[in-house]
Amino acid sequence: MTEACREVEVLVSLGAAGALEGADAAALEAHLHSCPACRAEKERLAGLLGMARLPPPDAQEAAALSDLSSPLLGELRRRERRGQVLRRLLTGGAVAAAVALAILAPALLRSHGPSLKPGPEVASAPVAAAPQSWEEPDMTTLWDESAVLDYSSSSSDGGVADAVYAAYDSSDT
Amino acid sequence: MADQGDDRRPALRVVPGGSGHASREEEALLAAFLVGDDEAFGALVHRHERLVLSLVRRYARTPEDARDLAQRTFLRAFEAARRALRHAPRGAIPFRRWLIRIAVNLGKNHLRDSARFRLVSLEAVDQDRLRSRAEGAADELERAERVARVRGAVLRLPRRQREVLTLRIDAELPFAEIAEALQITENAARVNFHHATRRLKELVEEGTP
Repeated sequence: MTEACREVEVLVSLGAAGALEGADAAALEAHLHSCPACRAEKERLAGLLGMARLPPPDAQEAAALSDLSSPLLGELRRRERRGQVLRRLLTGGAVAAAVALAILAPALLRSHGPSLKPGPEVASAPVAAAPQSWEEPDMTTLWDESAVLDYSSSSSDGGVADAVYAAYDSSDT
Repeated sequence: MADQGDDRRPALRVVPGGSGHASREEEALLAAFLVGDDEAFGALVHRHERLVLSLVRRYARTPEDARDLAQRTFLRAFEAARRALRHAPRGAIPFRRWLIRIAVNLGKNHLRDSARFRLVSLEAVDQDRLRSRAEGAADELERAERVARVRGAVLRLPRRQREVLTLRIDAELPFAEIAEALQITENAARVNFHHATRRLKELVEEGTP
């Protein structure tokens, strides 16, 4: 393989997939014109990619894949209703908890006031134990499991991205 | 499509969407669906179902599997859009990019699970079809086996190479869009494609008796 061949080897692969145009296509054509080895390689790769492509769906497969939207719509609307009910329950629960806390807090503070002051042993024990039991997570696995949706930096918004990740994580399995 | 009233529609932006006209149409459809327009939903699914199916077929064992993967892809993308808009009503929604990314990831997970349970894939179904057609014709049979070997090798490519290769040959996406979907540079997408073809060739040669 010559230096000129090495320079165009990426283009040979892309050309075999029919993915070149403009200056790149012209540069490859110019090289192939004078290099039978690269011409043959491009043919071989084109044949390989041709075999790698899936055939179009036959009638049986096409029938199985038709009308995706109707059952999807039903499922999405069901989830929407479930989400609304859940949000109402959570909101109601939070309000009830706040009211209960407001009513009970003064009484609790009066009866347990002195014990709320932390002793020296309370402050030190759990904090000292924590670093020994903590294990660093495998970041590759974490990323692999969560890297589904992302924003480009130009269009991202922290809150939105979080919501998107949350949507993926909480979706069906 | 029923008009739900502009005041009820979320002020979203869909990015990127190919031509400006297509992008605006998609934006309007997604906004309409999110305020309850079922026809807009059907139109959006119809617009992208070919893309999604072309991506998930590679990983499916049966046509029903492919249908299930496609439906899950749409569900996740629509739910993500809804939640994103709830948190940022004027946020941008890269809906098509999400669909591609979700389909690729579901395919990857499905491939992992299929390997675990050693299930028969659509590749094998296709191979059976080719075999039956090739009864009595040795060269056809040989070709059928080679095709099956090549498609099997595609699934054994390193993940990034497989993603780039299948996005190109299954969905016929331009490298700029592949790069955007996978959050890599266009040059990295092109180089990964090159490595994928080289590795594919090696894998097929390794498996050739």
